[in-house]
Amino acid sequence: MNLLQYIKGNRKGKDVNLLEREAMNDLFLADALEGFDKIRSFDHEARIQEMHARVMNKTKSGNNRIIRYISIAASILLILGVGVYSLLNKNQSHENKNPDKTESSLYVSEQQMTENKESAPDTLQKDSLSETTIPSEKTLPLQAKIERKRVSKPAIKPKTRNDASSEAKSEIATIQANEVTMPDSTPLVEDKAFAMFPERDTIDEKDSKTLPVIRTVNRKVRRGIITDVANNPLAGASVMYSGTNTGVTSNEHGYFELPASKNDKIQIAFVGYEPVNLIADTSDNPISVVMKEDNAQLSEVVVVAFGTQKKESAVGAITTVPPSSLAVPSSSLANESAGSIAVQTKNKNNIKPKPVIGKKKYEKYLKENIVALKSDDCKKKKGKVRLKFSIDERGRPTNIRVEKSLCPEADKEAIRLIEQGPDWTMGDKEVKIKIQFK
Amino acid sequence: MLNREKTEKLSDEDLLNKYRDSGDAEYFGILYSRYIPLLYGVCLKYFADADKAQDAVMQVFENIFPKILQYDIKTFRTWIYSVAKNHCLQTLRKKKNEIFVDFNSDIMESDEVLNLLSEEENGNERQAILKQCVEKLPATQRNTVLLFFVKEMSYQDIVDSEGYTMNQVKSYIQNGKRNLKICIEKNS
Repeated sequence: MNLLQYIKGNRKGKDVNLLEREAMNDLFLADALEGFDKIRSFDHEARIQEMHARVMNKTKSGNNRIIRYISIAASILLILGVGVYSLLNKNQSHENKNPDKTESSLYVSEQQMTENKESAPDTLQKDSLSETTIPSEKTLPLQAKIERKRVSKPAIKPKTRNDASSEAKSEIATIQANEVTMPDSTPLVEDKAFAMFPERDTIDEKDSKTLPVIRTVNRKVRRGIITDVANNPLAGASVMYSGTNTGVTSNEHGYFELPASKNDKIQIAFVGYEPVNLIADTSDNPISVVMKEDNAQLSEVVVVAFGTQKKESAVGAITTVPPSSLAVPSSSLANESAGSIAVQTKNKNNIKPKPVIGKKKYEKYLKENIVALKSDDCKKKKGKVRLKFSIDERGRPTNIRVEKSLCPEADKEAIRLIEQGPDWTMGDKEVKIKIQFK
Repeated sequence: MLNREKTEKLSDEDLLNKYRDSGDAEYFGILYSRYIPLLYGVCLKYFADADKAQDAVMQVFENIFPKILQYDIKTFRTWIYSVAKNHCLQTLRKKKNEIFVDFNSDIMESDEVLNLLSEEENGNERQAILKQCVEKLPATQRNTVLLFFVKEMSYQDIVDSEGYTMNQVKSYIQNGKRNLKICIEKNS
C-alpha cells in the first residue's frame, strides 16, 4: 500500500508522487502525510498495528454491550424476585392477630405506596420509583400474592408511616418495582380501592362495621372517561370524592373507576383545565367528562438559560442565576429566589437591564466602533457624553436622551453607538451610560 | 469472525449499514481500522508526538463507538476526518499548547490544471494553451512543475535532483499551478 510505504519512510518514486498528487485534492491525506513528515519513526507501523488490534478487540462479536447490560439487568431482577418471593412466603406463616413490626411495616409500605400514588408523591417514593422501573413479567404473579395478603392483614393507621418507612425502604423499592409496572387493569383499581379504606379490617372481628370491600368493589364501581373538548383522552386526571383525599387517576385512555360510596359528589381535576364537580347518579352508566382548558390558571413562565436567549414578545424582568447557586430545585417555577433556572416572570421588579453580551464586551464594542469626531467645534473636544435610555421588549434601546452633552456631533455619535449596538436584557429601570471621547 | 475478503470489498457506508442491520460491531471495527493510518497521521501533525497521536486515535474511537449508529453520516471519510481534527484541536486547546495554523487550503485547487498537465494527448486546443502558459512560467516553477507532473517525480526526488529545498519544491509547485490556472483562464 502506498501509504504504508510512505509511513515507513519511503519518499521517492512514482508511487510517492502519486500520493503527493492525491494529497493536493484531499485535505485528509495531506494532513496525514504532513504528520508523517513531521515525525519520522520506525515505530509508526507497530503503533498502527497495535491500534488496529485494540479496535478489533473492542468490537468483537461476543462483546455486544447491549446484550451484556440486558443479562446483568435480568439477573438482578431474578435475584430481587427470588428475594421478595421468599420474604413474602416467610411472612405468610406468621400469626394474623399479632403482627410483629417488620410485617406491618412491610404492609404499611404497600399501602403507603398505593395511597401515595394518588396523593402528592413524597420524595421517598419518588426515589424508589425512579430507580426501579425495569419492566418484567415476573411482577404479575407476585402482585397476585400481595393482594391476597392485604386482605388478611390489619391495616395500620397513617401515623406510623414514617417509622416503618425507613425500615422497609428496601422492601418498598422491590415491591414498588413490581407495582409500578402493572398495566392498568382491574387488579390495580382494586388496590387503590383498598387503599381508600384504611379502616378496613376485613376479617378482624374487632370492627364490625368494616365493609367487605373486596366483594363490593367489582359490583359497584363508578366508571367514566375524561376527555378534553376535542375528545382527546386526558390521562392522569385526578378523580376524587369531594371532601376526601382519596380517589383515582384516569389511565391513558382517560378511563377511571371509582369504587361506589355513599358520597356521590365527585371532583375531577387536571392541571391546566377547569375542575369539574359532578354528582354521580346511582346508575351504572359510565360518566363522560369533558374538561375545558383553563388558560387563566397557568401563569406563563418563560425559561431563559443564563440570559443568552430571550422570548421576543415577553415583557417583564429576567432574573438570571449564576451556576453556583444551582443547588436546590425550587418547588415553584415562579419563585425567583429559589433560583435553579433563570425565570422570566411577569412581575415588575426594579431590574436594571444589562448588555446581553456582558459589560466588558459592550465596552469593547463601544471602543471599537466609536467614530472619530470631524466637525470643527467637536474634533478637539475631550470628555464624556452621558446618555439615559430604556430597553423595550425586544431588548433594544429606546428613548435615548442626552443627560450630559459634550458637543452636538459627539452626542449624535454616542446615540448612534447605543442605537446600533448589541441587545440588552430586559428590565424596567433605565440605563445610564457614559461614552468617552478622546 | 467475519470473512476478510468479503468485508474488504464493502464500502464504508455498506459497513455501517451492515453493523446497523446485524448489530455485529465487528463491521464497525473494520471500518474504523481502515482509517487508523490516516487518523494517526493527522494526529501526528497536531500533537507532534507519537504517543499522544496514538492516544487520540483510540480516544476518538471510544468517543464515537457507543453512538455511531445514531449519527447521520453522509460520508464517513470526511466525517471521521473532521471528528479527529476537532478532537485534536480541542485537546490542544485544553493544554494551551500552540496550535499551528495551517494554510493547506492553498494547495486545494481545481483538478483541471492537474488533469491537463497529466494528459498526454497532443493537438488538443487546451493542451496548446497549456504549453504556452507553461513557457511563460518563471524557470524554477516551470522546471519543478514539469518534473512533478510530467516526470512524476516525488518531492524528495526533485530535491535530490535539483538541489532545491523541500519547501522550495512545494512552493514552486504551488505557485506554478496557480499561475498556470490564471494563465489558462485568461486565454480560454
